[in-house]
Amino acid sequence: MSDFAPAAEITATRDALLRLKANMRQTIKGKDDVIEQSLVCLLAAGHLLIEDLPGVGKTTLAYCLARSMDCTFSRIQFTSDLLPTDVTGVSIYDETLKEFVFKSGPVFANVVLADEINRATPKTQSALLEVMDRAKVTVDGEAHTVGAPFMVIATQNPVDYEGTFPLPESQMDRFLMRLAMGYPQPGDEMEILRSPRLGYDSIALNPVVTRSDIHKMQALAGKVFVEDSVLDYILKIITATRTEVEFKAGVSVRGGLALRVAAQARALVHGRDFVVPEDVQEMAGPVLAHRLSLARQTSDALEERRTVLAALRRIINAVPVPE
Amino acid sequence: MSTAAKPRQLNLDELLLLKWLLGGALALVSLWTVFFLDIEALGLVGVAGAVIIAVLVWPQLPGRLPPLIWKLSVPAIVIAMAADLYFSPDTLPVLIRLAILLVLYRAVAYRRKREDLQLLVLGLFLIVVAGVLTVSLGFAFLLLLFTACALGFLFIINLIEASGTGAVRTAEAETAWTRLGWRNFIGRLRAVADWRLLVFASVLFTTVVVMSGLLFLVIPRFEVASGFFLDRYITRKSRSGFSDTVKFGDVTELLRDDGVAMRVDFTDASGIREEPYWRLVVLDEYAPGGFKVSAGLKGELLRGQRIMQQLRGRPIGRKVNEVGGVWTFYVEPGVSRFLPLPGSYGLLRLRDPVPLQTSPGNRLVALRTESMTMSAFQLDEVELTPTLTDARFPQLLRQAQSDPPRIDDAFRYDPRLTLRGPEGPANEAVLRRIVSEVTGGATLPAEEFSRRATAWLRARHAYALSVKIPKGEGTDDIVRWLDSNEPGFCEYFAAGFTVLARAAGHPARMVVGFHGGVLNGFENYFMVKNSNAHAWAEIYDGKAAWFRADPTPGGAAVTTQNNVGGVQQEQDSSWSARVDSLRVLWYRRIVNFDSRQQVQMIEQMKTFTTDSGSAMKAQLEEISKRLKAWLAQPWNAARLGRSLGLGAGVAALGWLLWRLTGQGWSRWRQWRRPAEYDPVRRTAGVWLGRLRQREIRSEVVAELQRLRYGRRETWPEPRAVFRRARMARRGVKR
Repeated sequence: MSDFAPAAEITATRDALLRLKANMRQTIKGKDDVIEQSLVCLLAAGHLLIEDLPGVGKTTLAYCLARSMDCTFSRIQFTSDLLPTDVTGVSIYDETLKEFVFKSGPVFANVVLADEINRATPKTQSALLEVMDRAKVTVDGEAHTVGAPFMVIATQNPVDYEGTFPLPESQMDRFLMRLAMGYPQPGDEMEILRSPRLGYDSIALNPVVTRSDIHKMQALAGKVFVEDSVLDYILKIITATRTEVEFKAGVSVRGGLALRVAAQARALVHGRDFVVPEDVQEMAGPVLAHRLSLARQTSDALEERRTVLAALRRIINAVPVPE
Repeated sequence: MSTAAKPRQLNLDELLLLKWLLGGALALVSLWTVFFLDIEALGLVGVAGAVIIAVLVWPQLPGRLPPLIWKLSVPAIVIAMAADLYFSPDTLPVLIRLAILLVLYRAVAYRRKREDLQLLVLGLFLIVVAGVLTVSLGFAFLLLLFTACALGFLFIINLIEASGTGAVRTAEAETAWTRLGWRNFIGRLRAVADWRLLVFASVLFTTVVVMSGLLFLVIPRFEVASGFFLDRYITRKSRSGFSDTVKFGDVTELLRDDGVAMRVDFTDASGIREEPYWRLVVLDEYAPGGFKVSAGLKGELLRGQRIMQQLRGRPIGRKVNEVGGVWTFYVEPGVSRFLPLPGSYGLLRLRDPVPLQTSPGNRLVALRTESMTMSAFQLDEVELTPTLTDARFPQLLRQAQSDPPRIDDAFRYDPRLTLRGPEGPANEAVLRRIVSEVTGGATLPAEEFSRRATAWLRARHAYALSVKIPKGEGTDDIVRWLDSNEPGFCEYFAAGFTVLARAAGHPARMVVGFHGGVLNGFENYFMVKNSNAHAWAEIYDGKAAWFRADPTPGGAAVTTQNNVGGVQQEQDSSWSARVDSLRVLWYRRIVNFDSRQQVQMIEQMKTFTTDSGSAMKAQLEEISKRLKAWLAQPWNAARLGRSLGLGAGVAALGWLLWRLTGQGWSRWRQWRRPAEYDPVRRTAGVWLGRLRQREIRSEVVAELQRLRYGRRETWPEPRAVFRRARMARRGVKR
């Protein structure tokens, strides 16, 4: 197989992505950057964590992305009494067959929306770990492959610590990106207010890309060229996070790889078959911020996120861009 | 934030290891200086150095020692010092040995900031003591090395202090740096080393050195060695044989020593056409084992002792055949307390007033004690005369013969000693026989006698460095040697000659010093080595002067006149001579740097600056005048064309030079980092930067980005892209 990304495929991908964007824009108003980042995550075959205050459109975004593709979709509402088997599925003894039969859980879909993931117990949260990492579920020693493509979109509420279980660092590392929605602009919000829709069921979206399109695009993203100086740039940013005193620990090797993959995907979203430093700069925040924790304690999660992002921005400003 | 600004930097553990390395180097440099001192600590320095090197290589070693050893070490050092103080006659060596032990203790134990600074201060103590006592060139080199180490060391200490705030480290983490391993560390150092940092460090270091040099120029001068009390605390062992007694063989021992004895610097070497005899000591009294300075002569020297800075030699006004201009002597420590004098002189000048002992009749000048440091003095109006006028001698001799000095008045100079040789009938009989062989029974004038005696000696004895004295009873060694056919060396020839001259009734004495030397090919100076040591004789002409007689084969037999024709001096232009010339520069500029020279040098600098300033001004004025005149000339088409052509040629040359420099620079960068550097990518990067500055967003940006970051196989034609980029920029300009 050639390492090259053919120009025709690049153009086709760009068209498909334009369609996806336009489709999502029908429902998500004034959040083009968030839409773009979620598409980057999709192309990079990563999992997405959306973290923001309740009611700003996290679930709507996930729902729209899932619905715009010709893929199976399932939604799990995480609660404190949710059991791992409620996520992965369970083996049940079938009287008629006289044997155990695996009843697959909601995780067996192409796009899985894990809503309010930090409300579930760590045990249930970690049930997601294996699926996210290997796209497989092992029950009673038997591995069951989940759908392909497979993408977990999790949402969580950063302020509401009451009755929540913060995601362990290992699990945070498995999300390619973390996004924040933010409040919409007044004009966009007015448009939302005007629209008659109230529930998700009333969102009527038609799929605009097929499952095989997604496969192709994901394969193409892996072929996007990264020049050595850009790789060195990524390395320098990663190394700088490791020596920055404000952070408890730097970005892991997986984090560095994630930044490269995300930059490749972003280049593809912009119709390029090569990565430019701007791709790295734009992706550094969403890809790295949730992998870093501060050396000192902060009063709340939102402030921690702000401080981490500010430190990251400082690092990116200081590391010389390959000219 | 500093950490983000420098993504490539050492972490705390690596800094600690670097500090350990620099601390060790600092300790080693300061121990090295002890080699310059003549004290009994070399074994201790060797052991300490080995231990420090061992813990430098294996930093884990100190951690493995049981804590009891560390607890006991301080009392052990105290006990060692007390014992040393009790047994040692001098204080300073004890202090130095204590400092060595403390440096060792501090260098091998894990240190925090306080202990680091202690190590620095201890090292500085050793350096300063060695510097004050020796003032050698090697010391200057070590001082530079120490400065560099100390600057780096302090820098690292500050870095560690700045980075280690707040974090509480466990004991385990405290010593984590010892396990880093040198291979990795050196790799890290190479990764971190940045040429900008190195340039900055060199500039800093040079600035410190230059500033110190300037300070040295302007601060008031004082003679370092005499200004301190330190040298009184060391008993010095003489290294050469030129003390008051010279036994047979002493000079020969020196002949095997290739070390430098002294350097003589002159302002004008052109007149010097012969190998000078550097006269050091006059040995007037015969003793069976050799010649020595008589107690009377010593007494005369002692009586003549005055604190002086200047000493007049010849009476003023006497016209002489002066050579060499001002002669400056730099005599190595331990050569002799007597000053080497190549002939008569007008004025002898020292750096500072010191107690000087003189004996004008013998033309001897001596310091009270042998100098610990290199001693320097200057001679003006030097005449390389082989004769020494001493009109008072006949009168003194007559006086002594008619009124012999009392036996107990041993410190009165006795000129009769210059006639006294081996005594006893056996000795006298042999000598009488030889003298008659030499003279043929006639009474000869001193000059003729010298010539014949030298001829006789050279005919009878060959020159060799090893001498066998025939066995015999009743006669002295020198008499038996004279009577044999055994070969001998300079001392035997000189002593034999002296003994014969005395037996023949001519006052004579033996003189030791140096003969010859090598003229350095780079700086005008004579380098006299210990192997130039020589002995010769002086015989009184019976009227008014002593003249030199060198009976050793190869020497001029009798010299009563200046050797005017002579031979061209041998010049040394080897590498070692080049290195040695640096030492003389050091002596000239640093060691022998008195206030007179200081003023002179500052004035020279001032004149140089004002001169070059006014010269430049005059030159500029001249140029502007010429330019005006040239412009004022009538212009026609041919002249205009010529001028424009010339201007264009110069511009083209400048452009070409600029391009060549640019290409050379890029070649260098490509050679330095071949993987990271690609001319097309670099040019594309430059164009992207230019277009970004002007906020141009056209299709050419995408093409440039492809050239800069894209896969090579997908590149568009680079030249065309760059052309379009140029056009896009011009478009915006318009």
